[in-house]
Amino acid sequence: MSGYRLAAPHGAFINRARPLSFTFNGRPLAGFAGDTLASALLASGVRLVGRSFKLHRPRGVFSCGVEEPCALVDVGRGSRRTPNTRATVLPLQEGLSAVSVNCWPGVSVDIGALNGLLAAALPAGFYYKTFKWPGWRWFEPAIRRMAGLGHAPLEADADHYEEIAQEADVLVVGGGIAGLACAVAAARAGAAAWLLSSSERLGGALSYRGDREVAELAEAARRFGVRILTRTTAFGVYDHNLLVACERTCAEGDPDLPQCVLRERLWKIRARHIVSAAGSFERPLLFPDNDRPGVMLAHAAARYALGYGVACGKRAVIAANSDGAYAIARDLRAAGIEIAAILDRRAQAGPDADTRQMKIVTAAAITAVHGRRRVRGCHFASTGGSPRGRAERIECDLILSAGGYTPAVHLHSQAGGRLRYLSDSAMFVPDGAAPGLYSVGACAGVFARGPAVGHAAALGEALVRGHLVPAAPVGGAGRAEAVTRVAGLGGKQFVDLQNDVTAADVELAARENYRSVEHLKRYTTTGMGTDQGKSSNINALIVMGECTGRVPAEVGTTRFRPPFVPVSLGAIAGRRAGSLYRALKELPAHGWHAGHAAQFETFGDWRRPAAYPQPGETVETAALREAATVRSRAGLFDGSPLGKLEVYGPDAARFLDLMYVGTMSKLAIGQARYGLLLSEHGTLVDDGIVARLGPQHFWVNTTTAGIDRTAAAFEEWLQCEFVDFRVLVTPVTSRWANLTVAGPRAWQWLAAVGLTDELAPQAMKHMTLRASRLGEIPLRVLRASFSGELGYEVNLPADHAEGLLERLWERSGEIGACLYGIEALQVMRIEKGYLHIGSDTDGTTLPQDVGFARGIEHKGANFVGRRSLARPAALAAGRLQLVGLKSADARSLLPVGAHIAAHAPPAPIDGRVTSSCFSPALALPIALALLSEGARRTGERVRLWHLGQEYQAQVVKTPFFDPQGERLNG
Amino acid sequence: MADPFAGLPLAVADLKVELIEAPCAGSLRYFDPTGLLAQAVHTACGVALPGTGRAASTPRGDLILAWRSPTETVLLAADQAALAALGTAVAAATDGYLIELTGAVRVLRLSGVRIADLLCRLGGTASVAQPGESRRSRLADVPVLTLSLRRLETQLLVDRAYLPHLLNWMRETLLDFAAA
Repeated sequence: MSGYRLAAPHGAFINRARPLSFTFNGRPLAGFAGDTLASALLASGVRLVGRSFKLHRPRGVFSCGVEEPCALVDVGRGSRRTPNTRATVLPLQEGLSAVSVNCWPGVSVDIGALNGLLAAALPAGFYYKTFKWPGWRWFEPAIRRMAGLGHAPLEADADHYEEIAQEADVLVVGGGIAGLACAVAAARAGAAAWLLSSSERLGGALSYRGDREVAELAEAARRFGVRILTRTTAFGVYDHNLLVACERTCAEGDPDLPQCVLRERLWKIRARHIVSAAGSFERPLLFPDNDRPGVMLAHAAARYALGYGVACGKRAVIAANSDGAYAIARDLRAAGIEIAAILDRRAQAGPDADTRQMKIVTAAAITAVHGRRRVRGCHFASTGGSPRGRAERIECDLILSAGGYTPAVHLHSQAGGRLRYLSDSAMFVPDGAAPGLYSVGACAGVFARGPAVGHAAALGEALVRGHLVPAAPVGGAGRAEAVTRVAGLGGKQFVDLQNDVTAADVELAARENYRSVEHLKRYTTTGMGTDQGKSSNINALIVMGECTGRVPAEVGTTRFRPPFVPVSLGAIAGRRAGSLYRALKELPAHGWHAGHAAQFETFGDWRRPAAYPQPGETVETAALREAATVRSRAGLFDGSPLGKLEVYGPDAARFLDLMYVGTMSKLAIGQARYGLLLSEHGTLVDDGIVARLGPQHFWVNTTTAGIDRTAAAFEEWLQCEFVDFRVLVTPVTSRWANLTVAGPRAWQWLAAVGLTDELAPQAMKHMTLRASRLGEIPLRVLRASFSGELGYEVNLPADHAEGLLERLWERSGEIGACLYGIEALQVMRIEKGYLHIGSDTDGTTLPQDVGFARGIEHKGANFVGRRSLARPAALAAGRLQLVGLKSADARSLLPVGAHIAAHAPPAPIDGRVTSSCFSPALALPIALALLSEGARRTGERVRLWHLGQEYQAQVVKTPFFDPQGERLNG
Repeated sequence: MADPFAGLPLAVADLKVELIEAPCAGSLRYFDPTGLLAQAVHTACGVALPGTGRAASTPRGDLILAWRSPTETVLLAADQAALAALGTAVAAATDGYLIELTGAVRVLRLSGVRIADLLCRLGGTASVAQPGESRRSRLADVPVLTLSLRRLETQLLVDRAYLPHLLNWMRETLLDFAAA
């Protein structure tokens, strides 16, 4: 056993009176309330926690916080299994169950470790190299199988996640002493101040020391009304001072949680001022096998000892490169951990080094680590000359790395702040404030306690009072050198422990002429793991600098992007899961349709009846029956989702002329006309019917899915281009239900329920609209048809939809009519060759591609998109044009999406099927397709390919059915 | 999908959500908020068109007027007669008109001290209307107009097609309120 529990008073965070039991890889272990999983594992003597990503090397706990690259575990069971959880920030729960990731059959014996034998064949840029030679496809299957670390649950997540939006005057991120001082000062000055802390405990790096000033500030924060959110990690800063944070609202891994709980909460806080007090990370040193279980960050070991009462080892060697190592050594020694030696890479030890109490060797570096699954000792040698000089062995079970500090500048960088490099302490610090975001404490490079507190408080007050904000008194971190690797030694010196990127990989990238740190990151994958390189980025760029003859300031850092820590998809989705995944609309008569066996499907954001299957029918067979019934007798269709706009004003007619292909200003009151709406590029945006209600009042029907984009296009043109037009556009889709009655007996049916004779086909022509009444119910009745049959679209106030449906249905028997859904409507409109925007068009389709060239020629006046229709590309040969297809064998349904090509793929594609059905009227499969130069290819036989199967079809003209349109009049 | 209307009104401690049955609604559209139509409204109702982001009720209390855009005021009426009377009053105005929206919108009444708690979980703080305010916002990812005329009470106007979605989102949120 290496780790063990220290006696009180060490262990400020834990409650020894409350022991907890848990399992790790099935092994029962024990810890205390207040432990993290990592501290409990260390206290239990567990060193081997996981395996690395690429080489499957054994790994242990490396840090004590969010920067952890190695100790990742899958926690929980069933739907509550959470993959890749950092053991260092996971509070221990009674009954918690955790397993190691990325190993098989287990963490001790892992077949994947054979990858280590192939390490030489897996250099930096391996993927990129295989793209060139011998071919990525040789490696892709195996790499895809090996990709990833933990396992996501297969079951649906039954828990809740919520999103909450708030506003703040001053929002402080970080519950350390600087953050507290800033929040208290802001609140005292009258601001609505917030403070977010990842930890449950306030105090940051001082939280385990029982610091009196921290306690006083925490008390003052409560007194002045600072809103404090603990267990809440800010992970992103976005435009206009929007900060997003994730709060853990339940005990992760607790097996006794109720069935369905609020698991995480996403905070979206818009703040007048954001203050980052995020602290800093300790930077590791590079030396051979610096990834062995038992090698860890020095500051983490101190935190485990003092905070959790855990000795990470009995005898430690500290590899140092900074002054901070000495204070840590004293803390550990005071806790009872023997310090075998401090090996300082620098020529001179730190100013507070006490050589009488500890063995301190300067200009020395570790040259070898002994032990594979746990540290058993190390060799070190002088770096003054050759590192291969006489090496001395030290027996130890713990090697601590103290390479200086890296301020957590992530939020500052996300907000667009710049960085500057401090060579004496080898760190990047904020170069002034970022827009809307200020930094205090260690993340600002202010490490000395007094100046940090003073600066933070002054800044908090200045922000509220509008005073000049004080500059950060950067300093106090001590000396550190940007020398990290030991050259000329065997063994792997890891830069990025999570992604198995070594100093040699960085050197290779440099030799291959990668100079930008952004390119280095992507080529080697350093900093691209779940830890996002918190402990590796700076070392990578220092090594890069050494290889390319540049100082770190010249190399620079990559841009930090959100999220700062991994965030669950559940937290991001919030309530948007299950039935709330997407906001769907319901018909006014949804319940009525449900009561008549409607099978609902989603079309254009609406839940609509696809068909009304009878016993033994599928949706498809029901649709064929319904279509045949409409053609022979009559059918009733709920078209309420059809988009409806009222366009009103003295310039309404002129405006609609500009918006549509088709002249609307010439419509008489009560007349209607089909129109195509184009973008300024000439491509089809939507289609619909425009009817005139009055001299300056129009009714516009859009497609169901096109209402929002049509209304938005109208408003955009009115507000940005036709600004002098006096036109009002009002969406009224939900005001009016639309019940469409179609078929040769349509009028007979409508007359039976009381519609007056003025609406009869003899009195009312196709494409006209009449205002009428059915008793007290106002109607707007449009004679139009998307089925090719005599059709009436009866628009009535939505509250009356169910009533009219019921009245019609009561009389359906005598008509022999049926209800029909959207699938039957699709069948009938394909038979008629009617265009369906979005199905039969794409973002390049022009009116002339779908048979509207004559409409354009007939219109003399200008309209939106007209000029683009004369561009060379619009007139070029080879454009995709809408045609009809008949299945050559009269049996095979032509699949939507099938490619039309002369040869089996890969081959030049000539077009594709856009709509397809079996036609009950023609008793054969038919389809619509966009085909290159299709208009001149009528009669041609074409070959189609879909998922490895070939089909053949003949190109035909449309409509397939009733080409003279005689059925429109019943 | 669960029946969104089951168990209405929704209630937890300090918060109640009720669906107002059959509200009469309309929309005044105009080119000029001080023009002929606006004057006709003032004369007929005794109240001016509310300014940007404002809501008001008529002295008789039979109509609520809520700003929705620089060219639109939404109307909620106690009954059809009040709406019809206003329609008649503005019929002669040539710079705008009244569109009847009865049946197109549904109205939820929220009452209690936790209204803001609920709204900031459905959308954002911008959705929280103070007395006399009318706010366009998105709640539960759908457009909603929130308006308040008195403390501890807010009305939400939502397209009827989206009401089930909004209610289901609220129901889940309130379940978590109750469990907390």
